[in-house]
Amino acid sequence: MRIFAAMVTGVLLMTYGATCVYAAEELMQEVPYENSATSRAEEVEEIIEIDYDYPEYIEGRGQGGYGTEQILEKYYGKNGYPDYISYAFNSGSEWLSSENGADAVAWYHEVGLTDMSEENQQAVLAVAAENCYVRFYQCTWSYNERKAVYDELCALGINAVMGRNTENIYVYVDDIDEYAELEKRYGGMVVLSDEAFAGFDYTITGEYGATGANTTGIASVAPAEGTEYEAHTLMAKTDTGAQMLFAGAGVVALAALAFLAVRRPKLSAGADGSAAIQQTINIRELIADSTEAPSAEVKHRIMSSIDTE
Amino acid sequence: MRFLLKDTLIANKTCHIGVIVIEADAEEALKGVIRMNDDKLRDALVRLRSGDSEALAEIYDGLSAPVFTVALRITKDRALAEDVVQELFIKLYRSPPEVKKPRAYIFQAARNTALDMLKRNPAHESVEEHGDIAAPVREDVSDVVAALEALPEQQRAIVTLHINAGLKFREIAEVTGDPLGTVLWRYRKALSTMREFLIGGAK
Repeated sequence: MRIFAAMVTGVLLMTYGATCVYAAEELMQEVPYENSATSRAEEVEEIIEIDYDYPEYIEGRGQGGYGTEQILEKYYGKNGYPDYISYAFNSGSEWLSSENGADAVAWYHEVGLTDMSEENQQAVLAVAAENCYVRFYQCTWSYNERKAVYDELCALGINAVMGRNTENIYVYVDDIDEYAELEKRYGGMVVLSDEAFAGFDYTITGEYGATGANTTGIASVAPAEGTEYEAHTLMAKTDTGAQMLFAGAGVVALAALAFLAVRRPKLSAGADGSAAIQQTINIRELIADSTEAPSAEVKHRIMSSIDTE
Repeated sequence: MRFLLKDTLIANKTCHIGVIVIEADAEEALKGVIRMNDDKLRDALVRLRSGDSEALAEIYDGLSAPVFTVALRITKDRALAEDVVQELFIKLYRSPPEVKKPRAYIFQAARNTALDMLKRNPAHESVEEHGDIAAPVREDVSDVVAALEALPEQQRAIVTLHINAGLKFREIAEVTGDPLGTVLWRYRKALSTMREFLIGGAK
């Protein structure tokens, strides 16, 4: 009787394990990891939330002496970056209407400078065309310094990407601890990130070829929030399913030989997997749910205070 | 409702225990619903500039919860966070701002006020001393709050400003003074860290 019970248990375990594996694979097919061109724009919009209301970026516009370059990144990519520039990023454009009704395009740029002197800022503005609006950021490393490190990393076969609007080099790895030395060696210039985020950064297009980053010309975008987590959960589910298949087969074999008093395998053997196999947590929703309100008395105090003024 | 009542009776240091008015829409506020966008806020501020105190009440109802949450994440003390809210809205009444992006302006002010409050009150009573009234009711939410608390301050601020306060990344870049790319990277890093914290690193 015990042997029969063990065999039944083993078969059930194998069936459940197979179901886990099959279901996980089926569901993983639904995870929209492949990004189509039609959905890419929406996802990029969602992730970076392009805001075309740019008045704040008008500061820094040169007064007279305009150059002719509308895309600074292209200009410096072709002519070389001066040592005081860390990056020159075209952050967007919008249509403006002038008083006489004519329309024009305004180009917006974010430029990182290692030396924020007026002279350097004016030098950048002197290159920029009249319809360019530039915002400057203080940086530590120049483009040329970053390029040298980037070349070193590439020579080592490391998946490195030069950020187009930051002074960092992103390195995407599967085990951040293993590569921790890189961050220490390059003093903060190199930033490690999980390879799951590779391609997430909308700045990795290499569209202008100036950064030397991947030049696929495609801004690959990570799945919408929550989807990637689901993929990881399903990966864990697949692992647990495989474990249960083997466990079930082992139990059936032992029972069939009838040499051992087989105890019922604890279903909690998959506890670690079960913990991972939980409902997909939408972290953003939970964070939003964590919003708290002040006590009602606060409003009473505020309104009383202004009533007496 | 129960949550708010306890909060009022214990967190209220001056013990103004009179008629406690519980707003009917408090639960909606607790869910983090951002009901006041820039356009509505600008309209309310225009009315506020002409001395309309009802406008302040409207702004308070729309923004008090996310402002309080931002302040709470910085001060980690409910009483201090409430003081931040009180100080901020009184300032708002006295000097209504005339800016293009009033929401970003208000949250930047909330952040600065909270940081100042923290400097002025370094040894204030902590949340723990108020016992369980500080803990959110749901276990999964308290887990995510713990994960948030474990983040570095800059990452926690970005997550709170984006999700609880509803600011866009570009606005957060202006509030924090960081480049947009850095804000995006810190946000992704924060969510990745929280994910690992919550699931124990299972992949």
